[in-house]
Amino acid sequence: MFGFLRSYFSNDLAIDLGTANTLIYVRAKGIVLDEPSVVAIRTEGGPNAKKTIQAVGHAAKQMLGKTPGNITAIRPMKDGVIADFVVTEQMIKQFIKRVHDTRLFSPSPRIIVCVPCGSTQVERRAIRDAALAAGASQVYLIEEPMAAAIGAGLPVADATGSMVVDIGGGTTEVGVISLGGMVYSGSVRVGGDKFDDAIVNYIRRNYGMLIGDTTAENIKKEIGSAFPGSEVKEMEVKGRNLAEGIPRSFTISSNEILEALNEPLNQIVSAVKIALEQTPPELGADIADRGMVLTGGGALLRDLDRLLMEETGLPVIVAEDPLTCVARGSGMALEKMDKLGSIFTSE
Amino acid sequence: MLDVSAEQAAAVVGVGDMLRTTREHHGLSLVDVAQALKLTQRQVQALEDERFDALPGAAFARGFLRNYARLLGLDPEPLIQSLAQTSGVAAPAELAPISNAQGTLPNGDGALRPSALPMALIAALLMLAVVGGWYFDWFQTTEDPATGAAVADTPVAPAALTPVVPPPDSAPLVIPDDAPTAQVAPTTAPTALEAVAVPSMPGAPAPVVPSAPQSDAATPVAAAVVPVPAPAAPKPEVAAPVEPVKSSRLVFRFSKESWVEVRDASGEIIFSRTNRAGSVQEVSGKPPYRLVVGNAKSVELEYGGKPVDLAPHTNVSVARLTLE
Repeated sequence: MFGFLRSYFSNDLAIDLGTANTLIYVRAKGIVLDEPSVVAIRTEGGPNAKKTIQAVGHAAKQMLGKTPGNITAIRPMKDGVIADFVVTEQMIKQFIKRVHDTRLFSPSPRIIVCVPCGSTQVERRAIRDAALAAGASQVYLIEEPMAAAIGAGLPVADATGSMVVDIGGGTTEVGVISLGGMVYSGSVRVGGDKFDDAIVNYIRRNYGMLIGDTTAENIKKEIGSAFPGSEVKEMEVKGRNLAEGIPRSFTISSNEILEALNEPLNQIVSAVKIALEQTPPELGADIADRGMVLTGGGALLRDLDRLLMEETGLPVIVAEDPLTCVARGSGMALEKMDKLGSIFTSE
Repeated sequence: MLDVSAEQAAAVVGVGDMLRTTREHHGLSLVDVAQALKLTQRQVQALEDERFDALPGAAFARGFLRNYARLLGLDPEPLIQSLAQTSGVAAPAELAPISNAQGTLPNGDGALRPSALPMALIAALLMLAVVGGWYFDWFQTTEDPATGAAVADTPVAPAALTPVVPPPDSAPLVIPDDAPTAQVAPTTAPTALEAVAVPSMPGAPAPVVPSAPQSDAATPVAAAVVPVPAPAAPKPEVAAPVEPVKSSRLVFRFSKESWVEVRDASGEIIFSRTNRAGSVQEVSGKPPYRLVVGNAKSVELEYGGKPVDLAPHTNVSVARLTLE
């Protein structure tokens, strides 16, 4: 009844609280914030020692791995769920403050938050509580594959099967959707972070060099590839030689990265195959006709669609702007949230 | 590749034509393309013929087009844009499945639901009864079991009220109020109190009981008082103060329900209540009285034993008058 009042005082938000990036969609405005999920915390010395937030988002991400003793740069989300509750809450609060106009009243918006479909009740509760503590008046949870499918423009409400594979920073979610609900959902805790780890480990093992997570991420973005055959790229990388203890530079090729990523990619492929096994045959026929859709930052890995195409024999398409699919999808759910309740999940 | 881009620039004509010519340029057949993209030959043909409605949907059409363009080494973005222009495939996504029916199923066991309604009805009826009873004064009977008891509740000097019309010789009862004799006052006060207290007990002869001690007490007092004023003043003067006191008693007889308020000389309310039909109320105090009598037509008033006509003082149905 007082919806118009509430909409005056607070804009409803949809938050894609990802392991790597947090995106905020504001009703009627679109995506207004896209920042890394990183918080830098400064510990002040002196008699009144306390911890303050130094930076969030891009500024904090630049500090990752380069902080002095009194600053710690934290990624409070891990594997798609909250690893550090207090820091996550502060991060959400800072982001909400950033997107909300300063008004007389502190914002208390209704918030849609995405949760991995493989997350436990406790993890969902933690995400809900963090959003409530950050000032939300009501929190709706939506499963990531559902949001990703909506954002990719799939006909989720139709009586046809749509398969979506959302490869995020911490998790890979596979969902089969029909009639506005999830028929099958699977989740493996493999994502962009695991790719980075795999690259770091590969380089340490084969080159005896130690590189940081940020460098590994850059390598993945530059020359990372999931399928052999396309042109081979090379990149110069600097790291610390473990034997000498001195920074050195070396050159690495995309084929090596392909080898490094082999294991996490296989986990994703097997998750997709399991999903196809578990899908009811009628929906499987639909999926065979139209294929699956890749969303999330992982979909930007070169030739990942070709890998899945060859492994499954099904058409695979990469959604437009895969990084923002989940945020856009939850934003579309936000626009229609008063009319639909079935796409939201309970704890 | 150079040929392709030149062709691309020229091929504003159609997405499908450009795909077909580029494919033929690369020497690929429809089957090759279908195998590479894991599509059916029919779907590739539909792409080249720009029959996008034969494809599963807008999102898939764009995805297939992008994959096809990448396979052929074309930049997919201009193709996607021209596709959006030609077919206008940007229908807003529907998020809830189609619905052509309404209604909710009972949750839990259905046995409870039918009984819930009568329970609510009974509760509502009880509530109505209570409210109605209060409104129509059904519960008033409990208020006055005897007129005397109710009178005792009113904050009036105990000596001022007597339950029955006393005999004329009880007039000296009031005299102690102005009499200077100290011994008389303590004796009469308790008796008057008793006289008020006793009638509150149930029993018909109750009013008779107090009259005996009253007259007993009164006679010695009268005996004691009479000699005192005799030398001071002549008899008529003694009778004069007695006269107004004697006539200061108000008797109301109600033939219908009526509300009455009486104020004494000090302006204090000495009597105020709603009286039931058929009841008789007596009020005494210090005149002059100011009276407000509701429903005056059905009230008979006696003042000092003489009937008072309320009609001249009545406005509509309420009589307002002052009795001296």
